[in-house]
Amino acid sequence: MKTFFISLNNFNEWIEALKSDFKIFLPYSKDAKYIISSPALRYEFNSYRVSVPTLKNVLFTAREKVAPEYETKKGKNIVFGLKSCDMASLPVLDFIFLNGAFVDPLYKENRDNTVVVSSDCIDSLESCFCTLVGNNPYPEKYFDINLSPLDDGYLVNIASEKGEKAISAKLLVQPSKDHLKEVELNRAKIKGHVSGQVVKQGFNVITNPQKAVMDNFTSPVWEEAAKTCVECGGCNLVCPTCHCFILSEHNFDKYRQYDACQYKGFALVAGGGNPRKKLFQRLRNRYEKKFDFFQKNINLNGCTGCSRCIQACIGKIDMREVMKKLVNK
Amino acid sequence: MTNPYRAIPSTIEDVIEETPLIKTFVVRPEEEVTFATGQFVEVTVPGIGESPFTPSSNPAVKDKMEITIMNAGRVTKLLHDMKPKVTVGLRGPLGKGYPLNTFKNKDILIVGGGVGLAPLRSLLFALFNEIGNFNKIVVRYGAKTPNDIVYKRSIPEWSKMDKVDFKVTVDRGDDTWKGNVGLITTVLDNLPVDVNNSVAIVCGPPIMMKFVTLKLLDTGHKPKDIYLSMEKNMSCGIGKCGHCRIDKFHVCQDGPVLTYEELKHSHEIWD
Repeated sequence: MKTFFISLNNFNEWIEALKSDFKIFLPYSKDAKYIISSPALRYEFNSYRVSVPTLKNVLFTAREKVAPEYETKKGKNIVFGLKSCDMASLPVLDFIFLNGAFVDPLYKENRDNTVVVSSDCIDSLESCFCTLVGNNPYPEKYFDINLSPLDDGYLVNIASEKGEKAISAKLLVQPSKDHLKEVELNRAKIKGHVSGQVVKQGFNVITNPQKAVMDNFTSPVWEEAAKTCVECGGCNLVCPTCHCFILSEHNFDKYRQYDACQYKGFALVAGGGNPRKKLFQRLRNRYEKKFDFFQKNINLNGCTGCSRCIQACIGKIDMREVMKKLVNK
Repeated sequence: MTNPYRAIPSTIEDVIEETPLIKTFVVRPEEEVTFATGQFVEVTVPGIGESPFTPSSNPAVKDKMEITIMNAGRVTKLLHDMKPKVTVGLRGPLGKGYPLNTFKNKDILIVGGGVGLAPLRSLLFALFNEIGNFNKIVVRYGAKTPNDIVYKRSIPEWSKMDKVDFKVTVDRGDDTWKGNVGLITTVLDNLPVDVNNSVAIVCGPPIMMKFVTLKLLDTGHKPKDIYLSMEKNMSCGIGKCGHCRIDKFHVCQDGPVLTYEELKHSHEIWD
């Protein structure tokens, strides 16, 4: 990890310089709901995570051709505005798409061609709960470049060669002790804010999400929680780690498109067998996948605490409330 | 990098009717597709979809492959209407094969139900290829009625082979049926296998696998020696799409055959 300081002027110069080589995804207001790719927009530091897209939507898009030849996205991407909860999705997606007997060639190409620029949170949404699932509201790994906001610029952490190549050394200077100190203070403050919020909301009883889910697998809480689920799949779509897709066939052209485990037919087999016929089983499946499957495989939670599913749910199902009820049963 | 989503065009050379609901397709792919017994392939019906099947043929045969398919859903219904010379697609081989090396010098118990004998037929061929390595092969196969028995021509041949003990049972007999009548679990008592030096390989409908597993556990078979074909909804076949997950496994990638030891604490395995 290399640490530098960049002034606001140099930062803007950097963004301008990137436009010739990269497709840039930018947040464009402090409370940005979106990161979008438009060369006309100016970068505006976002205080907390945006609504959409997640990093997933850049690396693995809603519908893409994968065979006989995959649809190659020409050129390089650079994505700004990502937060710690977005970064925590990367090892999860990498485990799925880059590991195992087969590497997903399209994901790999997108991953190799994308520079990931994250930044520290300086505020949060009321639904944010990263500290409950093992993350901090500031990125510590998985990024190429991380930005920590300062009064007169940013502290720049560069973690990869890809990151190093994306920014001219001429724009960077060594950080002062005061810069480092300021970042440290900001980080302590936001961590205190998010974990304090979790305590105030009473969700700190969820000390071990995996245990909460698996020890209470047959709890009536699941059926109760599923009562307001309308099976829209919104939670799956907005989730930065939900990776499930369906491969569709068009005369040997294969397209993969997002699928949702909340849909009734998700696990249906020929002849009518279905291990998750009931809605509450499908709701529970999402928690099992996030907190048990990924813990057992990579020792990480598949939930990053971003709370997008809480915001997206039209049935007002709150993952934190469900787990709190499981724990307090 | 090879593209695991690409299907290889393949010609149907022959269609053999096994039962009113089950046909065996002899398929010749444009490029050689070699597989280890127990691995599966995704069969593409152009323009319609894909379904996973474990080949039922001898893995030593490299230029073509036999796939035994029951008419049970959208894709399989269309496959059943197909005639020789039609083109389908093959993706694979996918998943892991049976660990034949760990079966050496053991009694092999094979329990099949209905079309579940299809992958087991491929396993039988693979065992026959090196029969000197195994103590004996005991097969118990159950079908609903005599009409529903697959590989009717081969079973008498296999039954006569040295080291092979093959018995068939049907749930309901008919006027011509002289064999055993009763569910598969009724022919699993006092089997001529040493439970301390054997493996049991089970493939059939989930309800059958459940009761066979319980019976095998009852009769002293160890969870680690019971191999179950956990064929689930599979879309990608390569551990990415998430449909076939059970517990910590993607069945397509970690299976499709898993031991009961691996699954005994898992939820939703028999549904």
